[in-house]
Amino acid sequence: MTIATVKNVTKSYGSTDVLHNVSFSLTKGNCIALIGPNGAGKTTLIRILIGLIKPTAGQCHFSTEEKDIRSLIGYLPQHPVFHSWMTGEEFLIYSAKLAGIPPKEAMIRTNDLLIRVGIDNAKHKPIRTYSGGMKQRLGIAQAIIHRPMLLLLDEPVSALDPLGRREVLDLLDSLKTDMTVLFSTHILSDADEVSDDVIVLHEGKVIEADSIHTLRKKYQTTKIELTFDGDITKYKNALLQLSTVTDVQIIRQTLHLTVTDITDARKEILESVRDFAWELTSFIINRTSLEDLFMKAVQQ
Amino acid sequence: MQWMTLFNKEMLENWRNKKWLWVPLVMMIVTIMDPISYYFLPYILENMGDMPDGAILEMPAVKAEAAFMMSIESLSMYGALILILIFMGTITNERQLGITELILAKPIDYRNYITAKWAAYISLAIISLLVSLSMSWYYTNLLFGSLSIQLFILTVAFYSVWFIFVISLTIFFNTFCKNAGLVVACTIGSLFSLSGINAVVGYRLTWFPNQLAAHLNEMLLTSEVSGALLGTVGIIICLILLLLTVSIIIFQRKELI
Repeated sequence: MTIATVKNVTKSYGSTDVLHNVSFSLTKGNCIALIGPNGAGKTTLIRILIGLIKPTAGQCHFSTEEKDIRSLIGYLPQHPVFHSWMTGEEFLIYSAKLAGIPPKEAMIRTNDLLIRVGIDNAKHKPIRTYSGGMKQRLGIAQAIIHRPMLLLLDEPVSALDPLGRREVLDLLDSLKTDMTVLFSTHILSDADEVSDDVIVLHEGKVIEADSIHTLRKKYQTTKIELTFDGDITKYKNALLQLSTVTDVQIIRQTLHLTVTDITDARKEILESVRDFAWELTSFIINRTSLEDLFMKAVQQ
Repeated sequence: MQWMTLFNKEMLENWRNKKWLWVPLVMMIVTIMDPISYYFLPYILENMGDMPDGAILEMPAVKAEAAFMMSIESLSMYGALILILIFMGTITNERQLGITELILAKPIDYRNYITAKWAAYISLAIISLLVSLSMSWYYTNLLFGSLSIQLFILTVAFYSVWFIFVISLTIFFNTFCKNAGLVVACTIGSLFSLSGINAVVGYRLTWFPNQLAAHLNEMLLTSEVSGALLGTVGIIICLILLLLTVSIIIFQRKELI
């Protein structure tokens, strides 16, 4: 089910287009990573989704009857700033009440969330005494306290240390079941870890928007790496005889094969290994990482 | 309910940063300074100045109404300045820090956001005004002769309108100025322009906002609420409503980050 559609959104400041003709849709229950280098327009796109800035052209449509879409969206800015004189608990109750949750319910949800994000022991301390990681977790808590259907997170882990990053990624993973999560990042391994779909943004344009699985297939290289015991030049000639292999190169005692089709080639090569008792030691299909995928998409 | 949440937040913030303590205190000092120092001026000169022996200093006798008016005049200047300074960054600072981005991502009605801030600061301003004028009234009765409680209450009530106007002007500039310094400059600039216009053509514009002090003075002397006073207050209330409406419209239209 589609919960939101972004249609031909363009945002210009003066003569520069920060976003150019951006279109995509968000499906319910997915975790979407918005990836792109710094300055690609990720923050602008997220702010347009929540309605904090208005697009120059195009529109965002949400599949809902609700008049104020902000009550259905949770948002964590890249550098969240809180009322530093409030305590963590006060801020969450404040956020809940602003979203229209009755006081009693606000208390209950606040206490649940404080435990869930792990800042329960600091709830009576003013926010100005919180560390960066604690603020980030408080930020996520305030974004989900009204149980939104869509959670928008702008670079939620970029500023955290490895431990904090791990914790926040796990938290995101657990949120996926309750809501659609869209988060931006320029760190591709984070996207790889938790997201189902990716939107690749480059210089204000969407250059790919699909599931990671589909994109992997699309950008799959047809390369296989083989290593053998013994003289590998002998194998090179034998491999070149196979119908699926178009090229073989030897780089540092490894055979790098270019093949026509991964599935057919795998079958043919492994049959040869069996039939001629080749002393194969490793067989690697060159799996495209999100990083390669990103580089390729950007270069196109 | 949302309005109350926003209002309570402002009240709590002003309590935590001790504005509820120092604003009434400073305003009180400003208010009673003039009449008291006037009263004690002869004694001060006698003890401090190099007056030749036998010099007789005759200060014109001041009536209670005039002494009370001195307080009002100090408030017009310093009281308004204090209000502008405490209120100058209420929106711009939050916007600059980035708090607005987080808060306005919540389903907040902009009318609530503006009017809750406005009301919270008005509470602070009016309570401070009440405290300081009560003090001034006490000293007036003690040192200069009696002033009726009706006149005192009427003065506080009418003068509150001027304070609300200053706060409305400040919040108006808050909605579009990029930083707090600019808000102060614009607000004080506007107030100076108003008083400049008043000085040049005020005598012909009976209902001009800055005529309020003159009308209050008249009320204290004659013990009667004149039509001109009510007219002026009416004009100021209209201006306040206009400023608030325009502030909300600007705030709704503007991209806040």
